[in-house]
Parts: sequence; structure tokens; C-alpha cells
Amino acid sequence: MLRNMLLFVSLTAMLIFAVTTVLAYEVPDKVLIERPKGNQKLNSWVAPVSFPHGFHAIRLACRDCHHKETDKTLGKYVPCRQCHTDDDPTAESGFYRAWHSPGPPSCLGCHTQMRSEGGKNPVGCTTACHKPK
Amino acid sequence: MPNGTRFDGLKMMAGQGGVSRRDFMKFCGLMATFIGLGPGFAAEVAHALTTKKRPSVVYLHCAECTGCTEGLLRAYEPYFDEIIMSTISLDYCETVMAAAGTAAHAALEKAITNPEGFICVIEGGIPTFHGGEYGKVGGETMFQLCARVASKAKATIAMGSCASFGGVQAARPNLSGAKGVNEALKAVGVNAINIAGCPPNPMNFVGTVVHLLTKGMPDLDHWNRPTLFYGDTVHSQCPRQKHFNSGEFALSFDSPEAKKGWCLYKLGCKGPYTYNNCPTALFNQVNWPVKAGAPCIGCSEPNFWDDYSPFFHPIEDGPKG
Repeated sequence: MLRNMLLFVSLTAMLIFAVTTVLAYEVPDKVLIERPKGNQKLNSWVAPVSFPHGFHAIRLACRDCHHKETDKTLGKYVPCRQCHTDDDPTAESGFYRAWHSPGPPSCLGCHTQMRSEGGKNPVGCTTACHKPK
Repeated sequence: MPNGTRFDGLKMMAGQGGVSRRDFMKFCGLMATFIGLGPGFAAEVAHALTTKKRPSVVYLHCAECTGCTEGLLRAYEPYFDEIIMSTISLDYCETVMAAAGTAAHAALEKAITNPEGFICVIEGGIPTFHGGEYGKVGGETMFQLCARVASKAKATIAMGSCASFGGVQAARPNLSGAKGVNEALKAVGVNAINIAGCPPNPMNFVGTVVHLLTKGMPDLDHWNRPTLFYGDTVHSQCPRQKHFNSGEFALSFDSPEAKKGWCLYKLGCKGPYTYNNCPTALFNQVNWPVKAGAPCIGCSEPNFWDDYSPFFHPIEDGPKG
């Protein structure tokens, strides 16, 4: 009986190990958000933003932000700026609007909404994301 | 700048006995543009407003300062107050009605039993603690009155930030348990359109009423505000945005930079977090806070008294850890 149980536990552990090894993919801890090449700068003092990706990854579902991804693309998610490239700040899915639209998955939209619902998450331009050097 | 004063305008109107066709068409053209139809649809708006029977409106006041009503009454060119009076049938409004006491109450009872229905507008937060005893009208608590009236209405509009989200009386410590209309009256099935702002631009209120009469329910955002008016941040539409982008910030109100019209972000402007159309709609088509040299205080956002104060300092809220 004990032998069977041990066998079962070890087999299960091996299976889990095998599955996780196959499905393993890297979740970056920090992501530096830079403008896509050739994209015109909107602002003279805002530097590329160091985004705490890992901090968000353990609190939210991946697809809350990676809104176009599916189960099939798991592990191969593309960064926001691969699609949100337009440098016109008024373009609906442009580079600026990707981070500054009214609701999730945009950074500012999600943060302002959560703040108004009682959250303590930062929203200040120069205190949350764009700290002056 | 509009010519003449409001008083001159009223004197001129007094002799005419109502709104002239020209003023009315001007209003319709402006409204058609404002609600996104384009000026060519003025005739359509005019048709919708004149052929239908004037809808009955019941305007209730709860815990508020009457600033929203005052803002609406002072709307300038075209004269919204007169036009509103000739477009809707304002059957109950404590601020502007001639009746008082039991006669006023009788008017309310008559309006809410109108078989053709009515639109309910609520201004001010609703106190809910201790059975709502902090505010009473005619011996009935505001909570009861609003629940009774709004639950029977065809549509409910929450006018101003207090009615939308609780406003100043819902700020900490909120001793009276004041709540916004949707939060307080959810149990009786009320789903109000929030015209947030302190005060909101009267154009946003009138635009919503015209939209309801012509095109039906407007698109609403996460906070039930019409996206037509609350779809973008104040910052995105701000004429001083170029100074923000080039890092030109005024550091005190009496500085030469402030006089030059530099960005007020470091003086506490909450424009980047505030959804409203102040920079484009302007108050009374004349001005808005930032153009007058005062930072945006975020008055159309929920809980702005707690979440976005102090008003004259930028938010200090860096990420933790």
C-alpha cells in the first residue's frame, strides 16, 4: 500500500515536472518600454519607462493586459509596442493611447479606475511612471 | 467673448416673450454638433424637440450646494434656461419653482403620477446613515423621496459629482453616509446617467437631455458618464499640453512662468487623471479653470476630494517597495 502510494506520488511529481519543463517560458521581471524605432517623440523629458512586469504578472491574469493573446500563443506573447506603434497621440490604438486610455488594459485607465474604487495604486505622472532624472 | 452681459441678454429676451426662432435654431445647430451629429442635423434636432410633447422633468435636490442648478441657470448664449423651459416641462424644481410648501409637494405628486412618465434629475448626495435622517424634504427623508421618485422615472440623470459619486459630503469621514444616486438606489433598480463635475458644464446636461430625446441612450463609460463628454482626459485636450511636453512647468502662481501660461502640473493640476470636456466645451463658451490660471482639481472623478487632494500639490504616490 505504502509502496503504491509512493509510486503514485513520485509519478505525479514526475508528470508535473515534465509538463512544467515543456511549458516553461520566461516571464520578465522588468520590461523597458521604449518607443518603436522611427516613432516621433511626443515629449522632451519623458524617458523610456522601466515597467515592473513581474509585480503585475503575479497580481493579474496575463490576458488582462495581453488582450489579443490566446491559449495557443501562451509563452509567445508579444510586447504592447509591437502593435501600438502610431506616434500620433490621438490615434486610438497608437503608442500614447496604449498606456493612457480610459480603462483597462491601458496602464493609466486601470490605475485611475482602481484608485477611484479605493485602491492605493499610483497614478501621478512624475511619481508613478515618468520620474524625472 | 460674447457681446454684452447676461443682464443685457435677459432685458432683450424680456421684450420678446420667449425664444426667437433664430436663437432656437442656433441652439439646435450647436447641440447637433455637440452630440456628434454635425451642424447639418440642426433641423432634425429642432424637429425632435418641437414635435414631441414636452417631456416632464422632476428635479430633486438632496445634500448639495445648488451650484449645479445655478450653473445651468447661468448658461450663456444660447440661453439654455429659456430654451430648456420651452423644450422640457420642469414640473418640480425646488430652486426655480414659484410654488412653496404643500402646493410644491402637490405639484411633485401630480408629476410623478403623470401617465406619460417623467425624467428624474437628482442633484446632490443622498445621506443614508440612521435611515437617512440627515436630510428631509416635506417630512420625508431624501433617501426615501429619491427612491420613491427615481424608481418610477423613465430615466434618471445624476446632476453633478455629489449625485454621481457622493461628492464633498461623501468625503472622509462621511458622517451622514452620503452616497451617489447609483450606489444608494441600486436596490430599487435605478441606473442613472452621471453628469459628473463640480459643477458640470451645463452643455453636458443639456446635451444629454437632447441626446435622450433625439437618439436615445448615450454611450456610457465605466462610471456611467456619457463618453461623448467624458471620453478623454482634460490633459489630452489641454491647450497648455505643449508646455507639459516640453517640460515647462510653472512652480508658483505668481511666477513669470505662470503668467506666460506654462503647464500647471507642478501646482497640482489633475488634468491627466480627469475625464471631462472642459477645455473644448468651455464654461458659458468663455473660459475654464486652466485657461484662467487655476489647475484642474479632478472634480468629475469619483472620490476626488479624498483621492486627488490636496488640490495645489501634485500627487505624491510613487510605487511601493
